Amino acid sequence: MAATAHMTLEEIRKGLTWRKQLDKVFVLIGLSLLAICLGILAILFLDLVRDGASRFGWDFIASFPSRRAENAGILSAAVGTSLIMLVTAIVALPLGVAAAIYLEEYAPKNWFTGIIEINVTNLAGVPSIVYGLLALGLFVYIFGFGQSVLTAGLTLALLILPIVVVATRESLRAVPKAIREAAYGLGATRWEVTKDHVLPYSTGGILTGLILGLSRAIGETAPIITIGALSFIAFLPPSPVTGEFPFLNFEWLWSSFTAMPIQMFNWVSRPDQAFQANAAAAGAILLGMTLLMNGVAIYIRYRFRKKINW
Amino acid sequence: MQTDERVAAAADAPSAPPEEQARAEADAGDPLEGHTSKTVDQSLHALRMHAVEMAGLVIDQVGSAVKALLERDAPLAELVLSREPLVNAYDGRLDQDSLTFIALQQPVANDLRAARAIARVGLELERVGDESKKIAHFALRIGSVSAHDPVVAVARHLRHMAELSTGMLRNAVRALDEGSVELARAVLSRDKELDREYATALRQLMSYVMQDHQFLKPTIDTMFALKGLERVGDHAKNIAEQVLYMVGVDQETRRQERA
Amino acid sequence: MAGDTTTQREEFPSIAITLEERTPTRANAAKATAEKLDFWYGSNHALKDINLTIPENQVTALIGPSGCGKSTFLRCFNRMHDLQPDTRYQGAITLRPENVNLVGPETDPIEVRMRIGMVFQKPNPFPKSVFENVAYGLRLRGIKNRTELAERVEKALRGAAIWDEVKNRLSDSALALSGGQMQRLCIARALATEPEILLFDEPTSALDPIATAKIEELITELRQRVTVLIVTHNMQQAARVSDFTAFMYLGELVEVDATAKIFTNPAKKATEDYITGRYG
Repeated sequence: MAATAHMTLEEIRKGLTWRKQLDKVFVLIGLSLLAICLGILAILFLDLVRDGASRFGWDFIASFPSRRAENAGILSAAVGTSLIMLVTAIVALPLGVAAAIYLEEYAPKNWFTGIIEINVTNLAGVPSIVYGLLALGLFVYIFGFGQSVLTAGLTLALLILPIVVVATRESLRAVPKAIREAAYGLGATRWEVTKDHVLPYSTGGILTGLILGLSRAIGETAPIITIGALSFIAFLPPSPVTGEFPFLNFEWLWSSFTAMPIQMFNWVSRPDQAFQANAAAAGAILLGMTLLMNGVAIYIRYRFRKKINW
Repeated sequence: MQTDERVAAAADAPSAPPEEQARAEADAGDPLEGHTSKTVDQSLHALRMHAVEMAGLVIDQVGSAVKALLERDAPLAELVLSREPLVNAYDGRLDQDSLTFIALQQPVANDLRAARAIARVGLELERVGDESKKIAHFALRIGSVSAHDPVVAVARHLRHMAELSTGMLRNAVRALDEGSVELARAVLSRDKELDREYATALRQLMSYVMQDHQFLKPTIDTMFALKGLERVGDHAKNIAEQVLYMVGVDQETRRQERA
Repeated sequence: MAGDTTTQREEFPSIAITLEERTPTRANAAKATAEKLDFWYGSNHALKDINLTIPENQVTALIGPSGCGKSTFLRCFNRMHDLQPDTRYQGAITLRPENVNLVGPETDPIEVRMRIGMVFQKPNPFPKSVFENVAYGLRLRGIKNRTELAERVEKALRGAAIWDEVKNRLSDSALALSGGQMQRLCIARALATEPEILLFDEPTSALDPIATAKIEELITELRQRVTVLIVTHNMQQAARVSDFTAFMYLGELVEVDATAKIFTNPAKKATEDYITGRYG
């Protein structure tokens, strides 16, 4: 026997109340979970800040590490981290973008390309210490780069390469097919389409991906320990900029270095309680740098999205 | 108008009917112009121009046929007969063009009414052409003038009815071209005068035939000629009604105005 | 009224005012001819033995139900199918006057696309300025001179009947235009390179009626400059805009003739069924 064809108003309302309740319940659950996560993060951060409060100040940033906690600073570590990030970015960006362009625009869609794609994404899951070991054998010994800023940069570049590749591919994919068709329709070659249209419109996404990769790399400790970052460096690598022609100097690439995570690890492992404060302060600063980089990434994405709305 | 002007006017496209000056291009206020698509404008313009040209030809046919009858001008009658296929060709052309226009441009509202109205006008004009043909045939049959001619007896009426009916035709077609309701209504009211003239002519003819039985056949033919001219007036009225239809006057009102 | 029952015979001599065709249909030369054209998407035999002549400087419309192959056929003309994997052409589309086979393996698709332009269904201007959109095709061809670029961009924008609306906004983003304007911009972009054939793939299906009317009017004017091939699922549009109409069904060409003939008295019943809505 068929029921009445349509529901009466009361029936609709009765069912609706229950469904709307469920709706609200989910919102509550979601918000609570979000609050918990953010709360934990906030607590961690505040804890660090509180522990390191005594050490915040210009001397902390401008001093080299020292055996005496109150004199120890993060200058060499901060500079080392910055230089490494510079190398990482310079290496990872072109490699990652080129690989992504090839995979997205040029590679024929067959089983071989499929295998490449799977492996690229898998690379993101490789434990970072494995990268360290790879770098030790390849860059430090076989290529003879030694335990230098260059090696660290290359290692971390390899580490974040999958992130850059994936982010770039997503941005390339986001360029609508219609735009490509329009460009091809005018007689453009594949490279011209990529260069004149696909790449420029993907810049936002690519930069975002790069910065997210960097913000991951900035905190990686295992690989750079493996390749030999030292932790007591009371000197800075040679400055890249000199006063005389050619104004650029690459000596710094070959120099020994330390990095923020290393420095923190070193301080935390000291028996002296005073160094805990240093570690906390360094941690807070590192966290701050990471948040700042993420903020920049979001801002860039926002600006580009405003300019280009399909 | 001078001969060569009229010839030139008739041969060029698009041209105005013989008795009218070349009409100025439809200016602001012409409801059938102004489409985004120039093709539609041009098609409607061409349809109207064809109708107007055909009317010019047909009006001349009527006048010439009656003149041939009154003056027993056989060559003129032959001329009228020879132009009959041309009249039919115009009608066929108007029919085909309006059909194509409707099929290709899917007109609605006033454009659609205009296309339909013009096709029907073509039909009415073709029938007027047929009436002229019959009068021309009669002109050929009747031979030379005789004092007891039925045609002579009602000559004045024939002439007057020809003038009236062609005048009505001319105004009706002008009403079509300009989309003028006033002109169309004037044509509708003129018909009464034509009917009166016809009634008078019939009475005259009857009194003539009662006096003299000798010319019975030509008398009957003369009666048909008079009837034919009355019909021309009716066709002019139909054309005027099509104008009202085209402009958007509803069926009920149109019926009342015809009566 | 003028005394016209006394018409002088001389004034209406038997000129036989023959109704010469006021708009004679010119016998146009063929611009392109498809001969025994077949096309496969993978194993799908999408076009079957198409033989069709596209007359020069006329608008030819392709109509037919969804999936009949009209867009597929259109895209053979500028080798857009080459961007997909696993496509195969057989037969020829011969472009006059050099008699180049557009779908031949020896013909470079990029070269084909430089001679044959396309306007797509959804307006797809580049997210650049109005000027740069139109100039892109010219830059591809190596034209760098600013003056020359400016002249040709203006000419193209005028040709697409949009110059007056954008002449003061040339450096504004193209995405700020309305839908109809964007489509006319895309037409200008295609016109800038002075193509020999301009392909339209359902160009107004995403637009409102007024924008559609403007573009239809533009298409009928464009025929003086370029040969037009247009695919439309709107038959009435084909009737309004084209000189010749080709009806396709299931990958085959059923009938092609002058548009007036197709829409008043088509030769094939299948065509008549489709255009009167008795199909399916």
